[in-house]
Amino acid sequence: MADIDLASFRPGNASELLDGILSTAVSTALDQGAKLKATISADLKALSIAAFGTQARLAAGEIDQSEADFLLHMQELNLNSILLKLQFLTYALAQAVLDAVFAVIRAAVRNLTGFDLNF
Amino acid sequence: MRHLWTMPLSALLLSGCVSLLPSYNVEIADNVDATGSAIAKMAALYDVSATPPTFAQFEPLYVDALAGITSAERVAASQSKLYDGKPSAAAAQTISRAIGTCKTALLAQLAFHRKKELEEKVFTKTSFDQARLAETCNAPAVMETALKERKP
Repeated sequence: MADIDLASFRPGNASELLDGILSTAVSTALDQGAKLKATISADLKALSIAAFGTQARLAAGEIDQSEADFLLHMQELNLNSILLKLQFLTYALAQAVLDAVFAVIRAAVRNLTGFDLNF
Repeated sequence: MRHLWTMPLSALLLSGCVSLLPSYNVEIADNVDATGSAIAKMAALYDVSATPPTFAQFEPLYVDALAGITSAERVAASQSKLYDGKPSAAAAQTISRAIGTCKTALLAQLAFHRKKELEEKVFTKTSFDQARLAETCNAPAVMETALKERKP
């Protein structure tokens, strides 16, 4: 399904409107989802490198147990914040899809009736 | 027949103003940025000082960072109350929790830093994982930026 042109979108029936909404929703979700995945995997990669480094330094005797405890605690908090970020960006994704869908409906109403709804 | 679809549509329109996100809050963003820059200065201190920096040099930076995140926490808590019961409440709460996580991490590092000061008084760049603290405290900033960049 290709992206629809909002300026000229004039659905003749409910099924055409549904097609327009679906294609917009899907392409917005895929687009935003790819960005979200890139952000979160970069975060998790940095975190796992840090966790592995702490383990290696403890094994090599460069740091003592209390230092390793502290570093792991910081990594735990970091993971917590990554998960909160994931949660928040998921809401943002849902909002982007919602906004895109309403833009399609608004365009359809405007193109068919001439009324520019402001909701 | 052509306008049959406007009936379910009007029901949709009534729910059109649904927002899952709170609005961008410049006060939270500014305070979180202040914390972020204080944390960046801590990391820079290791590179700038010829001798290993003492806790006294870090103290004002901890003050700045803690002041910023505490203000952000206060604003976010009152904002959360504002969104109570609305669809955007969950996202507003997530911002609050991310700020709380940053504050916990900051206090944990401060406590550890003090303890190390009493024990040995020498810090190297690897005594603390500055990057983890910076990352943790960057999360609320990322959230506010996402709200700011949202198309109206």
